[in-house]
Amino acid sequence: MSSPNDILAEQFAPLVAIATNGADDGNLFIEKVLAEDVTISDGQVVPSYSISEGFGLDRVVNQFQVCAYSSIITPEQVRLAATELAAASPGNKTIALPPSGGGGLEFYSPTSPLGKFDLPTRIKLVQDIDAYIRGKDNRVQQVQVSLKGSMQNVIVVRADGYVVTDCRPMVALTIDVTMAASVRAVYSGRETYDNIFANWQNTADEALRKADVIMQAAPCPAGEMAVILGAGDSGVLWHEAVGHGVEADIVRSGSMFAGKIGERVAAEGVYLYDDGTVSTARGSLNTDDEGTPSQKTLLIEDGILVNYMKDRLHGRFYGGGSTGNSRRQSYRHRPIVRMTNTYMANGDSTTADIITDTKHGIYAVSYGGGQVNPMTGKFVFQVTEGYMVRNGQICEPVKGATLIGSSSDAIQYIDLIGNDFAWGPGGTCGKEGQGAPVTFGMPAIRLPKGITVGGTDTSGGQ
Amino acid sequence: MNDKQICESLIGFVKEIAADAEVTAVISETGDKTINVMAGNPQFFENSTIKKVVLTVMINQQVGGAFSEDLSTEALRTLATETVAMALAAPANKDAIIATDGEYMTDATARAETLDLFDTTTNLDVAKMQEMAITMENAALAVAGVTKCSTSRVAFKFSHTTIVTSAGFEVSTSDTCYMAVVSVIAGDGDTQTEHYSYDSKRHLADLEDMAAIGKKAGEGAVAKQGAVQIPSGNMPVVFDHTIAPQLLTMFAEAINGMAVAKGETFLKDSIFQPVFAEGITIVDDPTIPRGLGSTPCDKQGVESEPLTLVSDGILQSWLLGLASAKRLGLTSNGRSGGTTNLHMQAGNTSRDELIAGIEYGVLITDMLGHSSTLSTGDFSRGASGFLIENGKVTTPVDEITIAGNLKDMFLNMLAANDLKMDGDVNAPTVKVASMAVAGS
Repeated sequence: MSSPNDILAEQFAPLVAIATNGADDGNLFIEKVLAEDVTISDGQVVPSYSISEGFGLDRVVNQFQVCAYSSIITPEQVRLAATELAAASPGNKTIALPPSGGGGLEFYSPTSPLGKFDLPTRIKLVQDIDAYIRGKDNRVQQVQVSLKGSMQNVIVVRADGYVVTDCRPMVALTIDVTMAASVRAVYSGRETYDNIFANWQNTADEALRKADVIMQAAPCPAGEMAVILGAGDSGVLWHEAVGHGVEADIVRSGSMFAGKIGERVAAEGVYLYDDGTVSTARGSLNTDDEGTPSQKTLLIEDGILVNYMKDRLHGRFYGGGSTGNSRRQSYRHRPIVRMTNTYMANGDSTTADIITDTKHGIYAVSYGGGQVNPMTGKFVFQVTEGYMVRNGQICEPVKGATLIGSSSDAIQYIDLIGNDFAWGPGGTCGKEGQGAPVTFGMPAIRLPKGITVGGTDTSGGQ
Repeated sequence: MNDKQICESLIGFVKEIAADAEVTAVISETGDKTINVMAGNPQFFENSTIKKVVLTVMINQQVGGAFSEDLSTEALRTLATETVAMALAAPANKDAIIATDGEYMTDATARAETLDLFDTTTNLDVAKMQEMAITMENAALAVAGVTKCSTSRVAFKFSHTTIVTSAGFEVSTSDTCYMAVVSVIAGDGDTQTEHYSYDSKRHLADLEDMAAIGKKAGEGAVAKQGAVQIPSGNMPVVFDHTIAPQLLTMFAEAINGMAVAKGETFLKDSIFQPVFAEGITIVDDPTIPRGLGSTPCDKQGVESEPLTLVSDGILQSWLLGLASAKRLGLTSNGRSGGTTNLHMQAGNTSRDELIAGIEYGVLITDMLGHSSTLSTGDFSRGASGFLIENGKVTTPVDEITIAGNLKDMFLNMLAANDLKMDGDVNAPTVKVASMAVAGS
């Protein structure tokens, strides 16, 4: 009896062979995503549902990646694409595929979140959350609650008939609350809705707490001062300002970390990992989008750059093979090097010690958005929750603060690393116009200098 | 079946289940070819064709929405059934609305054709696109001081869209878009500076010369070399015409009708009040032939006509779709999708004169991040550019933040006369009298 994978292999592997004839690499990626969403905004409920499906066929000759995408999954359509690809990039290479197998990993359950909680139940939940938040604090002006669930089924077919599949569930509860300004709290993971239905109050309370802090915040003074990055959310800075610069494709275009393997790039005691194997985390994958099993990759070891994140192409280019970081937003996006769950590991100080030791600085806890130039490492982050620190004490919350600096510079200055590692809620990382679910985390750290604090108060007051 | 017939059959499936449903069906087919070149070699080429259908069902005031990339008859029947079930399960939505006979345009397809948005004369193949990207890259590399190009990319897109509603509105539009972008690096290691230039046009013949785009990006990257940090303080800030459109985009968000109706914007009480400095006029014109934002009507079918949003500093209009207009007791101006081709008119002073009046300030050419708070107008961005000293642009500056409140910034703004109508949001170089600049 033939398994579904055997049938796919029989149907598509010969076509992948045409597409990858004379190439270094290539495969067929077939995807089907079912997604549902209930959003309440300004009290108005909108449910939606989507079916997205198609294939991406990829061919790589040297470092030239040629891809064809179509929303029509038929052998005829794949054959047409295969012929076009081979013509667009002639080659006389021999494909060298890694051994089959090594899969079978399960960092999340393949159970789809869809179906268990019907639409009326999900509508009632977002309405309950809306009412809970409005009822708890009469300063609330606007509430938006979105409950999303999806199931992404991925099949990778290679020319040799090897087939890898991954069933990736995802749920997310996103709560935006506006008092003086809009704040967001998120719960998300590769799981079913059960935890959200059981514990949504935690996320709602967190949104209310953040909104309340901003209500009390004073304009942030501008200038250079010590910066303490709080545990958890601040991991977004590692992701944005360092992580992108050690993605092998960015390195290849000349990022500030190019050619620095084996060199000191950060202060002693800094360990940075990308880890796609974290149980039920938003960024986890059983297998990446080229069929490489997920792994935990050490990037910075005690301040020394030791590895890049790689897909198969860059695994060949830089040697050492793929690190399982090839991801595509969907079948209609090319696979590129992406992070999964990126984190800085614990040190031996405590947050309390770090605060006590700081005379004048800002304690940044969460962020509204950020941007980095991955080539130069210049970054800017908007602090949505931050506090002034004076004489070893956490003082008033501040608003309008931005952190700006250059990552290659800043991470050399880290002088204290906490032992209170926490994950942030994670988010969707944007790169080359593609979104990918990721998480990040870190313990609290201090940078006595190297980051400029921008704010609306330039009076120079302490 | 053609796209219009597929839309009609989908509406038919919905009506079989729920006769009183109001239905909107949209089919879009998009194609996209992109090539990226690095160091003279092609890095990637992508060719995609995607077709999908989007269905919105409204029963009384209850709404459900869905889309599918599976367009088989069986899938469309399921989609209709699921979407009706969603609408029936949903509570009433006060924003549920569909354009009725009399509200929607009846000659939208014909009007769209007059806008000349589809280039029928050109068919770009991989070889030609690769040649264009290499020309652009070579021109950038030829600039003295340039180290490398991180990206040199050429893209060609087309789309065909058909919208049919159960109320009788229908439109079919086709458009093309050619895009070239190059990102260039000067210097090495920690002294790297990056600059990019791009152009995007509906017709290939209108696209800027590849070599000119490359040269401009190369010169920009080199000009940023040797950037210094500056002390914090309040000073005049000039936004280069390449970056000033971002301020206009924030203005457009602040006059979005739904944000106004929900009280979410700092301009909510400012209609017919001064919101910009005297002399500033802002226009949204969907009728520009070959315009990137040109359209006969919005997605709801309501005609979009040229609109003066700000006249001599006074706010004249919100951006309204049917739902926001209903909430505000006004009439839709065909802006349910926001602005079309938005621009600030040129002022009377030249850019040099505008800068000449500044003893000490900054000229901003790049902004990082996207942080502004719509409800308060608070604005704070990472930025880089050049120092202005004694009326002259001097040293490049880096790693600064500029902060202020959009309300004050708009009211204290002076526009230069260097407006160039290029993309779908255009502005001349503008000066803001004073902002908080944070440096070292």
